[in-house]
Formats: sequence, structure tokens, C-alpha cells
Amino acid sequence: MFALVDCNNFYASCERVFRPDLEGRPIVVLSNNDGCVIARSKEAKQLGIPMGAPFYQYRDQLYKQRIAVFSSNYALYGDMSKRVMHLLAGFVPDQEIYSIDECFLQLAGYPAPEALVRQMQQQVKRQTGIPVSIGIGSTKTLAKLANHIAKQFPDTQGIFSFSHCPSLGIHSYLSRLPVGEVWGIGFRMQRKLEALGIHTALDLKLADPEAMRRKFSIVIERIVRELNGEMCIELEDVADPKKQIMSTRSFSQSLSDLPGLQAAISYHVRHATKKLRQQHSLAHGLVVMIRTNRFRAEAGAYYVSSTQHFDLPTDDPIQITQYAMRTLAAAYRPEFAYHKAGVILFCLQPKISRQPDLFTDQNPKKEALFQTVDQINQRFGCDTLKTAFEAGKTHWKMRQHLRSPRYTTSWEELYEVA
Amino acid sequence: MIIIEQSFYNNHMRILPLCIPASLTFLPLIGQVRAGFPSPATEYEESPLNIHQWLVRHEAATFLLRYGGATLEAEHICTGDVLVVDRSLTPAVGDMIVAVLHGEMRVFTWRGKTNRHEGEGWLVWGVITGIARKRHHP
Repeated sequence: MFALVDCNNFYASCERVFRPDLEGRPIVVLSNNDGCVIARSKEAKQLGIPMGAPFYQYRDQLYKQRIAVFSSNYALYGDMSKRVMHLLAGFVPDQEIYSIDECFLQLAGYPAPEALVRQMQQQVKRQTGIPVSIGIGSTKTLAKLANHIAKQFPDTQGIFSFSHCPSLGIHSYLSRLPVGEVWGIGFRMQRKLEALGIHTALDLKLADPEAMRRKFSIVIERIVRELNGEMCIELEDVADPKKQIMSTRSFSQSLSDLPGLQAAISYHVRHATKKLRQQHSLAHGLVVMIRTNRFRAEAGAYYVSSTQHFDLPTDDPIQITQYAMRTLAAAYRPEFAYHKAGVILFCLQPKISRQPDLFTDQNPKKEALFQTVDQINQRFGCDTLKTAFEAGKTHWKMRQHLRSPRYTTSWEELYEVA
Repeated sequence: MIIIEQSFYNNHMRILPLCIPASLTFLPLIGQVRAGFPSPATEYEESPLNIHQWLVRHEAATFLLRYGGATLEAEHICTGDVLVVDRSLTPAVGDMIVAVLHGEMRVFTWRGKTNRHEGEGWLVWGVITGIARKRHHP
């Protein structure tokens, strides 16, 4: 028996924790650089603001409809997420954190799962202010679907369990869900299934698993079995370390000079390497990408992504920066106005399995240096210590005019109460 | 209720501690001996005191807010104090709380259910379990 706990409109709910005046009012949250809408409160959805709406096109409508607009505040969302996950793990220790706002819980062996999750929902709301919906099912795929139902139908009060539902009832729910709502069925697979006459979750449940494997893959077969209550997908304890790490962003204004691009690339290397080091991996190589603005082709279009393999896998930020600068210098052409830059670290391997090399010195002092840098940046803010390529050049950084204070992670930005 | 006061006695030399909160990174090295006698203290190693741990009982439910109102002398709360607010607790009569009234968060004393704001959409946000204050800001 599994539960899937999902925070309702998570980013908007986080903004409300310290803004009780926004209770019941429409909220949208914008992407990095205030480009487009990436999260909406229930009220904003009802007002017809679509997901991905470009901010500059919807600015007037948002203002007229008195919708509260926020730049994304990932420091706040990350902290609130940790709190919610921590509380849930206190109820049920077998937890798989699936994303910033969802987790699976293993409920096998608990005598009254419905009462338990009702308690979780109340406590999370009370202790963190975040509302959650919870779905229960005998497999992860069913738990995920149950969660979808809990969200869609208000009379469930945010909790729905397949185990208490007679099978005819299950069928009537599943027949109303498009097959694309099933966990693991993407847009393209949905098209393929529809071509076979499989339109709803119920159609897929009633499909022959063997035939689905022959037609598609073992992945689809598993989904069919899971829909029928046969467990095929286990709880994962630890999230798989990422196979590649990307850091990329568009500039607030376009730029042509090499030092400006060097600052941007150096910033992205630093952030990607930080993530690399956090998951205790080494990278075998990197990709440097720079591009002009796709929407302003008249200024000339140029896109290059250049790959560089390292001599030895590494997580050394200085060494990776050197590789990146060499790659950038080779790819750079001064006649263009660049709009976006980024890096990808690829072919990651766990640090623990590093092959020692006779001819390169693995200086332990260096490792201590980088750990100290990581610690200083964790304590005093992630941009305290950086490579000199970044010095003094900030004009390409994020546009975040509407960010709320980092209430829970910055002493300077604590909520002030009277 | 807890009050912490921190002073810097020495004006000439300020010491900036460079260690991250103990729970995250502080790994006491135990028993590493190159030469000579092992330290008799190694077997009695304990973690250093951590003020955050002392102030915060329920990590996930506790939020720090800054008090911006006028000093409340009877309650020992001064302008600029950091309030430790625990959202997992139920207030008892006489507790200082943060409550939402007319969409705004404010500090109140909890007088039980018969509060004068009853019926005005008043909502308990959390119970103030500690106050932190620096004596001289560096």
C-alpha cells in the first residue's frame, strides 16, 4: 500500500505562508528571469491564466484582475519543501521524495491508512501552512492516480483511496481520466495509445499487458499491471544521482563582449560544480552553449554547443572553469549579440569509484580548499566566493523584480511582525 | 520563555567563527594520534553546545520572525528581537502568540477562547517559544 502526498499549488502556497492576506486571492509565480508563469493558485487557474503564459503578454490582464505576481523564490520553496518532507517522514519512515512538492510513502503494515493520512494532512497544514492532497493505492501508479482524483474532486477533501472504493467505482473514475494522466504516459505515448483506441485510464487498465509489451515496451506493460494492483515499481530510497547537470539562463540584456560571456559561463560552471559536489560525483566532460536571441533573428543567429572531454574525471571547480574558458574562447565570435549561455556536465560517476592515476597528483589540500569554499558559500550566501572571471559583472544575472523575501533562509529578510 | 544576550567584550579583535551549524558538518575527529600520549578526553567527546538546537524544539514547524513593534516591557520583547515561533503547539492562557487578524500577522497574548477578537477572523499562526537578541550589533 502506497500513498502519494502532493502539495497543492506548492509555490503559490509557499507565498501565502507569510502573506495571510493572500488567502483566497489569485497568485501566479514567474520563471527565472520573470519570463513566464510557472505556477498558479487555484483562483488564478479559474481566472484562465494558462501555464507558461509569457509575462509581458499577460501583464495588463494580471494587473486588471488583481492577481498577485511573484518572481520565483527557490530559497523559500526549497526550505518549505524540506519542512513538509521532514514532517511526513516523521509519520512514515519509508519515504521517496519524488520532487520538490511530492513524495511517496510506504503504508504497508499500518492498520488504518486513511486515518493516518488524514492526520498527516492536518498536521502539515497546521505546522507549515502548506495544504496537501493525498492519494492511496496498492501500487505507486494507483497512488498517483488516486492523488489526481483527490485534487480534481472537492468532495474528497484532498484525500482519496482506491482501497476503499468498490471496483465499479474505480472503473467509473478511471473512465473519466484521459490516458495521459496516468503516471509514466507522456504526450507522445498518449498519441500512440489513442491510435490503438486506448483513450482513458480504464482502457489502459483493461489492455493485455503481454500485448502492450510486444507493441511498446516493458515499461508500458508494468504500468498496465500496476493499474491492476500488481506491484512492479518499488519505493526508491535515495533519489538516483543525476546523470548530467545543467546550468543555463538567458541574460537580462544581450551582450557581445568575451569578458561578459566568461563571467556568465564561469557562474554556471560554479553552480553546476556545486551540485556535482553535493551528489558526490565526478564529471568526465562538459558542454558550453552560447546562443543569440531566437526571437530577434534580424540581429544574426548563432548557436554553438561545444563539447570538451576532461583528461580525468573531476569535480575541481577551478579545473573545470579552465576547460570551460578554453572551450568558450574557441566558440566565441565577436560579431553576435548573445542572449543565453550555459554549461552541462556529463558522464557523471560516483566519486568513490575514482581510478587513481600514477601521473596526476590528487592533492588533498585542494579538496580541503574546495570544501571550505563550499562551506563559506553555504553560510554567507552562494555568491560570496567565486572565480575572478565573475568579478564585477552582474548585468547578465537574473531578473527577479517581484521576488518575496527569503523569510526562512536570510537574517536580513525575516518577516517583520508588529 | 528564553532570552539570549550576546556581547562582544573585546573591541580590538573580533572572532568570526567559521564553522557551519554543528548538525551539518561538524565531524569531531576522534583518536587521531601521531605521537605521544592519546588525549584522555577522546572517550568523553561530546558535541559543542548549539544555541539553535536549544531554542528550536520542532525544527520543521519553527519559524524565526523579527519583532518590529514598540518594546513590550512587561513581556520582555524589544524592537528588533528575533522571535522563535513554533506552529506545532497549542497555546495556553498567558502565552505570547503570533496571530493573523484582518490578513495581518501580529503579536498577542493568548487569553483563551474568549478573546476579544473572536469572530473577527482571527487565526493563531504560532506560539512564541523564545526570543533571541544580540546586545551589540557588530
